[in-house]
Amino acid sequence: MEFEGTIPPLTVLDILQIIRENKLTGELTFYNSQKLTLIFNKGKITYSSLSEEEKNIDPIVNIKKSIQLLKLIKNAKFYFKSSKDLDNNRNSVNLPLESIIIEISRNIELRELTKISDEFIPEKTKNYKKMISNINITLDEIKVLNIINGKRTVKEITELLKHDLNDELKIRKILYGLLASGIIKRAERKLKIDLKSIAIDPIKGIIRRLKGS
Amino acid sequence: MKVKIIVTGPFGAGKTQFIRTISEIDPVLTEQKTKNKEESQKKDFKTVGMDFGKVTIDNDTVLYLFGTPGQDRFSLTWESLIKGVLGIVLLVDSTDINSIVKARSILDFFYSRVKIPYIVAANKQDLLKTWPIEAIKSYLDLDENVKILPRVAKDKESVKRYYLNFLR
Ligand SMILES: Nc1nc2c(ncn2[C@@H]2O[C@H](COP(=O)(O)OP(=O)(O)OP(=O)(O)O)[C@@H](O)[C@H]2O)c(=O)[nH]1
Ligand SMILES: [Mg+2]
Repeated sequence: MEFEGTIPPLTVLDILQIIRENKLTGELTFYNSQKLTLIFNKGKITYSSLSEEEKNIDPIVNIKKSIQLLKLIKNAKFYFKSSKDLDNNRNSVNLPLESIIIEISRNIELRELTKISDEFIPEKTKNYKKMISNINITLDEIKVLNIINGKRTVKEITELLKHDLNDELKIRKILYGLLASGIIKRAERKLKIDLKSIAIDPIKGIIRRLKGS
Repeated sequence: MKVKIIVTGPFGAGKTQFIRTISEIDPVLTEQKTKNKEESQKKDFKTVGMDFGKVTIDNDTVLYLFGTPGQDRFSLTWESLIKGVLGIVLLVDSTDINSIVKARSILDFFYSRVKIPYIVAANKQDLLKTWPIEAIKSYLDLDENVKILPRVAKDKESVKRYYLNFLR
């Protein structure tokens, strides 16, 4: 898999979400004044390249440093290219992206929040409890999580928590982080129309028409 | 029975092309020459009113396709368009990240208002440097109920293949 683009309109979080969700293996490079390359193995970070001065012998320290750099990327080109899955040897580092995504989300700016539209309806994912037990999650983040029920829109969630958390931007940032890390997702909808009746299933209708023509 | 379907998507995603490809009547198109620089870099004509197409399924069922203009964000026309709609086709230009980003807010708009089937069509797959389907799916946060499929609106054979594929 290969894709490239710019930040904006995307954000670092969007790119990390794609890599995490699809468990990608490959190389992600950001180009702005500096170049930063991260290597992923099945959706986890295994390596990051830093400039000679900044480099440490401990790969974990290097990755931690590059997470700090990732937080600051607000304008850049990026390029991702897949490679074959790496063997998990005992010495290699494999940091899960969930907690990194949450950490970066705390540094998101207002103009990066386009993805969290007023009309978006989130719900908790099946594994959310297990996921948050592995993350350093704040009390405010828990508060937001608790109010998500698969029916409320982003707008309703911010209305409900506005007085408590005192900061609408913060609520949206938290929602963005929870979404990108896979703790919440877009709520599934129960379809209202009766799909058994083929006549009113428009998609099947189009198909039949195309088959016949 | 008359079935109403909305064909939507951002500016230049290929909505008019899509309707042209599957409609049995000449679609009523309301194209106008693009004026501003950003738009005309992308193409020469844009839809200003609404595209309209018709597909007869059998004696009882006729599909009416309504293509939204890609321009203004959700004007009043959009709200009135929603009445009685039974399916939505959301097109995105897979080569253009801005198209994918804009598609997301269109999706959120319809999603919160009507509980009907959707398909997302990652269009222009014949071109180079398309975004992978999985990446588009992740960006749009599609749930498992929503199909996302690669397609080429320009090519009737591809549209057919696409739907046959969808049936399996
Ligand atoms: N290569 C390629 N070009 C396509 C495809 N579908 C549409 N196009 C081209 O993309 C451009 C935009 O297509 P339109 O159908 O006008 O897009 P639209 O969504 O109706 O645009 P607006 O109504 O103005 O928002 C046109 O030049 C089409 O010929 C496709 O599948 N492949
Ligand atoms: Mg059009």
